[in-house]
Amino acid sequence: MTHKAIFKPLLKGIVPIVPPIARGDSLVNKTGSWRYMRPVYRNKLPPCNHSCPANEDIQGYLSLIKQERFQQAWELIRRSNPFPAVLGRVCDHPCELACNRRRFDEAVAIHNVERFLGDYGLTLPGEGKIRDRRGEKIAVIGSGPAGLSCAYHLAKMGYPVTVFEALSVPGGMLAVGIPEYCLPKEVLAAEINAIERLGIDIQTNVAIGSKQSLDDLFGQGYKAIFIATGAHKSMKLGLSGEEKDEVVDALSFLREVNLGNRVSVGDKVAVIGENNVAVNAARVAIRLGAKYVSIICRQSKIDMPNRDEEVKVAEEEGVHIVYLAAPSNILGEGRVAGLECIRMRLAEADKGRGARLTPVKGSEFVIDVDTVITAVGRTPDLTLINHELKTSPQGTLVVDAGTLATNKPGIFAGGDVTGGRATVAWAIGAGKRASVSIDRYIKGERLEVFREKTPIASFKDLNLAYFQSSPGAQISRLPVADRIKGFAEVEGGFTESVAIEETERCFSCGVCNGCDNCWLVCPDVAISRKNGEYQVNYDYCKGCGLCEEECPRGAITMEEEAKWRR
Amino acid sequence: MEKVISGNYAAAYGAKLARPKFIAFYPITPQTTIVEKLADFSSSGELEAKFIPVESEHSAMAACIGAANTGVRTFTATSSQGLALMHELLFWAAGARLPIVMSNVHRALAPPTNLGADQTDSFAQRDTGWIQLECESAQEVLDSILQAYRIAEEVMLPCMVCHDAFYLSHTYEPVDIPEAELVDSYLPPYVPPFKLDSENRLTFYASSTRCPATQYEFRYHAQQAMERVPAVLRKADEHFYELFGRRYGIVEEYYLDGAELVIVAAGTMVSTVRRVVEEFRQRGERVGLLRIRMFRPFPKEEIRHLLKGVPKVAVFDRNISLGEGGILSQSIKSALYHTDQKPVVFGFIVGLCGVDITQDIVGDIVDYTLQQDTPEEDIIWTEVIR
Amino acid sequence: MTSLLAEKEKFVVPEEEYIYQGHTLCAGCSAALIIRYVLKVLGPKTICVVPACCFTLMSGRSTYGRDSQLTMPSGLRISILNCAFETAAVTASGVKAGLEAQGDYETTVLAVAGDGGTFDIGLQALSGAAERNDDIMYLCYDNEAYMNTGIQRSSATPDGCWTTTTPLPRPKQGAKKNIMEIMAAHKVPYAATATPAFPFDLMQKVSKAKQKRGTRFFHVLCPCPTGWRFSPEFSIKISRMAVESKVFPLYEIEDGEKYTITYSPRGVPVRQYLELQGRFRHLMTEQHIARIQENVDHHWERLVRQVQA
Ligand SMILES: Cc1cc2nc3c(=O)[nH]c(=O)nc-3n(C[C@H](O)[C@H](O)[C@H](O)COP(=O)(O)OP(=O)(O)OC[C@H]3O[C@@H](n4cnc5c(N)ncnc54)[C@H](O)[C@@H]3O)c2cc1C
Ligand SMILES: Cc1ncc(C[n+]2csc(CCOP(=O)(O)OP(=O)(O)O)c2C)c(N)n1
Ligand SMILES: [Mg+2]
Repeated sequence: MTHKAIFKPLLKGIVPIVPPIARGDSLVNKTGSWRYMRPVYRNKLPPCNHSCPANEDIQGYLSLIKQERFQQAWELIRRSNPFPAVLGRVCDHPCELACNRRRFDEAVAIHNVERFLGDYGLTLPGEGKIRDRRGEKIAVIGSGPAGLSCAYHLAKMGYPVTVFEALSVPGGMLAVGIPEYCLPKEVLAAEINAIERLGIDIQTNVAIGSKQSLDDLFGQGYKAIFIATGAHKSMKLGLSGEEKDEVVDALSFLREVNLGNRVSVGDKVAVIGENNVAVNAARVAIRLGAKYVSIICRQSKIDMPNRDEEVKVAEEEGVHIVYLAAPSNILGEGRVAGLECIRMRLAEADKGRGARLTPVKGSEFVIDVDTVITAVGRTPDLTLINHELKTSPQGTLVVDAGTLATNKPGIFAGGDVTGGRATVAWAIGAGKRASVSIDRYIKGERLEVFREKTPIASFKDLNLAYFQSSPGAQISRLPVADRIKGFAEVEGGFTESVAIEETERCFSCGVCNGCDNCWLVCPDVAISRKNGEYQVNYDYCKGCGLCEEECPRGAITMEEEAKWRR
Repeated sequence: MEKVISGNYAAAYGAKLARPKFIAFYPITPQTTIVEKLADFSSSGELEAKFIPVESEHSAMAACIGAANTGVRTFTATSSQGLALMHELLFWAAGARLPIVMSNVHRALAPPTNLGADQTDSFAQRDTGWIQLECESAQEVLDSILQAYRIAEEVMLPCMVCHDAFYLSHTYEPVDIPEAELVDSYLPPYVPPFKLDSENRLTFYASSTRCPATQYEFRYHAQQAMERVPAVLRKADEHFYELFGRRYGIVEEYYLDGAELVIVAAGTMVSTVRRVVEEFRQRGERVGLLRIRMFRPFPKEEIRHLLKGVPKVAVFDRNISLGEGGILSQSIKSALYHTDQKPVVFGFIVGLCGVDITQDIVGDIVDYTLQQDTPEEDIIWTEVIR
Repeated sequence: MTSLLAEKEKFVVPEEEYIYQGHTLCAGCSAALIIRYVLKVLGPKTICVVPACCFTLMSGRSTYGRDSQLTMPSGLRISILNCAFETAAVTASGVKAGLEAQGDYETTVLAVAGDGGTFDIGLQALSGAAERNDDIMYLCYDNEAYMNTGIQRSSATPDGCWTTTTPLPRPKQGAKKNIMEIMAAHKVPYAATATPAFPFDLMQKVSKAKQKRGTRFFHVLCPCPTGWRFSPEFSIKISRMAVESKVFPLYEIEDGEKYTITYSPRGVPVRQYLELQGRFRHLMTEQHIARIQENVDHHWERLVRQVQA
């Protein structure tokens, strides 16, 4: 009888030496089975990108510049914006307001880096003509940033595009609004030329509506129309004396100056307004030789979000700002002999923008002026455009916020003509969005594009331990004396090294930039990398979460394992 | 070359001749002169071994384990408290199958402090997996250390070579110190079957809590190795005899022919017992002696064979396992359990803690045993000389 | 504050890995990270000596069958010698001597022991090796308790800390042993503190120590999610906070005399370090925290004086 419990040696007589020594490795242990959360690389939306009205991949090009891959950076920015050199000069850069670094030390100087990148682009040969791959002609009305951006993107898609421009020069407000000391003509011309070189036909001195209507355009075979006619009509003060020769509206004033026509101002200029346009008009007046220039501002603050510095710059140049004052009367028989103003009071404690103002009775005072420039708002001039398009009470075209479609099929509109932010970046973004809609319209697709919502990388997603405080780079400005002599560009740009250094400050919020930290902190060697891409080996990852917690930029998310989900 | 040297020096010479590459030690009376002598050898350059004066016996054994793992021959020496302190690591050394050789000088364990001879120190380590040899003379100490390496390195178990405090450790006797070249031919350099180095990645002694079966197997293999020792020892002893003309065996038979009473003993007391046996034989009393040289593994076969049909056996234990009795006598009894014609076994506790075992005492014990049919007590205590 | 990512540019992290995936240390265990960094610098000519402690889980513990000895899974790509709890240093000395006896003077013998195996039961062996200046590297990963046996206090357990043998309402009384001073008193050629939150500091120190001979000692703080009662993703954050709060300064001592602080902490309040860990939860009163802060400041000032001396 045999007993299972009793050991029978297999190798009788042979006694191997069996010390407790092993050769195996732990790869046999699939420790991934311990895990109930798994790390996944999921980029979040950097707040700068999120805030950019032109939809630029800011984080993307900052990262490329950091790696000194300027060409790729330029190509990347051009995917959303054909005007980097322009926008790098004129943008109100909400990106810097959104920049998470602002809460750490100072925002990354994105605006100036963009200008660096734009200027770099100007040195490139540029893109050549794009062969029309599609037969459908598209008409764009207005050659401002909205119109040209739309034309550019459509051309890149292969559509033949014609741009109709009422004025003698293309560029809209870039050409006839924004002064040259801010945006030199040759910079604008270079970027417009680059757009034209794609094969876009820009017809100047053609005002749509005067000789040909929108319907005529369809009749000529245009399959879709993008209206980007801007807002060129100045609002009135509503005071007597406004019709005097020495009272001009800022838009006309700036247009004339920009077109190189002779414009003269008196010694004592008052600009009425509280915005960007007013500040520009005042600075131009100084450059035209005015001795005393003041801005009469109803509010306690000039309304130029994120551009406080420009007010200071204007003051440096000699512009005097009279806050909390409103014009009540233009004095003088014949010529302007002065401006009577009344003090304003904030009805409630200063609540910033939009606080209610009331005039203080009996507080009138007179300013000695001989020229008055009004800058109290502008609206679109839709007189020439087909009246069947829906408009808002403010006189702007009504469009679908997402698709920019008007109430008439095939007609889209964007930029200042539709109201809204009234900035160059926003106009450029609108142009691109319209191009996408037009393409879908032509192809008979649904206009709405489904976009997955990417969470925005917030400040608390960052691991600040990995960052070191360093102040942002500063730009230089011409000495005041040199500035007011003429229209030379006031601001200097970044040099290459400064630009690179500045991009190194970028946190790359929510976007993996291949910093290797996750690879380095994994106690299970479960993260491998190849060309800056990382892979989690889920056979061994125990789900400790160190990679996620230690990711400096919040580009990793811990997700519940499917097997634990109910 | 013959020299008159102490048992401890004999141990030192034995160790030197074995050419160990590593020696770690910690002093304790009566072992000290071993390591002092080795220190002399080391500083004069006669001994090439790495020589580390560690901070405890525990560390001495740990260091030997570390070094032995790298595949070098190692040596250390201790006694009593020191051996007890090593206890934990004795298991490590054996479990790791490392052929470490150690000289242990039998000394009583405190309290109170006592430097005298007593076998309890190493006998208490009998379950640790060490081969244990008991020496009677200084010559045997030297020779046994050389043999110990042969045996240990063949079966891959550590070996302890023991001798009594003072009776041997500090007693000078003429000892033949063999020529180094001859020893080298007897004991070639150690070639380890496995070794720790940075060339071959190996993991030594990883936890097996999750797989106890493996460790059960390790125990089986270690026991198998122990079972090989008698044959290996015999071969080593024969070879030794061929080269040096001396041999000791596993056990030594002395006047066993037709013996009615056989005394079983180990260590230096054997020399005393020898004289008494001779005297009794001269008187015509059929008394014999069985000396246990190899205490671990316990030579059960030899004992069964040699004591078969002997009417009486008197076991002399210079040790005691409190709560059980003389360790040797218990082992002898258990070895004989399955034999027919079992002798009556008398277990005497003698000479504990360095108490002298004189010829008179031995003679008296023999007398007593011859007269008694059966032992009056399981443990028979003997009178001591004060 | 130095940026960790900026530090990275100064120190090229060796690509090679010497720990395998699938080792069975807990999720988020700092000890695994520490050894990963250390071995990256020491390279393949290294032997690891490991006494009883959590780190033994690195050398495998899964099931295996009859031909077992070939498949027993180790987490290191170098040889490991497991040894008795209190013998890490001296076993390493033995290994080193054994290698040298065979002509190998190159291999680094690295003992990796817990705080229990270093501050307590293994202190004697460590002291012996240090006094003899044996040519070994000794790394104590300090998780401030006997973790392998289930969070019992050791002499490295900080004042006021809960463990299973210092249960509430009487948590551990008395400060942690200053092992670095003990090593400095031995005049070892190199002793340094480190944490896994500062891997470049750690690796730089290891590479410095590698250039030296004799007993080189590392005291590495090793936050333990299981024993310190925190979620594993915070292992690094906590060791970072330990440094930033000056609870665990990063410094080195050369030849027992030359003290250098290798990172200037921001000096965040200790509260921010303590409150991350469940083992200190009961201490969250102003009075307790003030006392701990005082001690931390006192030790920091003392260290600064030593640097200046
Ligand atoms: C003085 C001033 C300074 C500014 N500064 C800045 C600044 O620094 N940063 C910033 O972001 N924004 C600034 N803006 C605002 C910015 O210029 C506009 O928001 C932007 O130009 C709007 O672009 P758009 O393409 O919609 O319109 P526009 O740039 O106004 O372009 C519209 C074009 O359409 C043409 N057009 C109009 N009607 C017709 C028609 N019927 N047929 C053919 N063509 C027609 C116009 O002549 C014009 O060229 C400034 C605006 C002004 C007035
Ligand atoms: C001589 C001895 N006593 C006790 C133990 C039990 N033991 C094993 S590991 C350990 C605790 C180890 O603590 P530490 O050195 O701090 O390492 P950790 O487990 O915390 O990493 C203890 C007490 C042992 N193995 N050996
Ligand atoms: Mg511990």
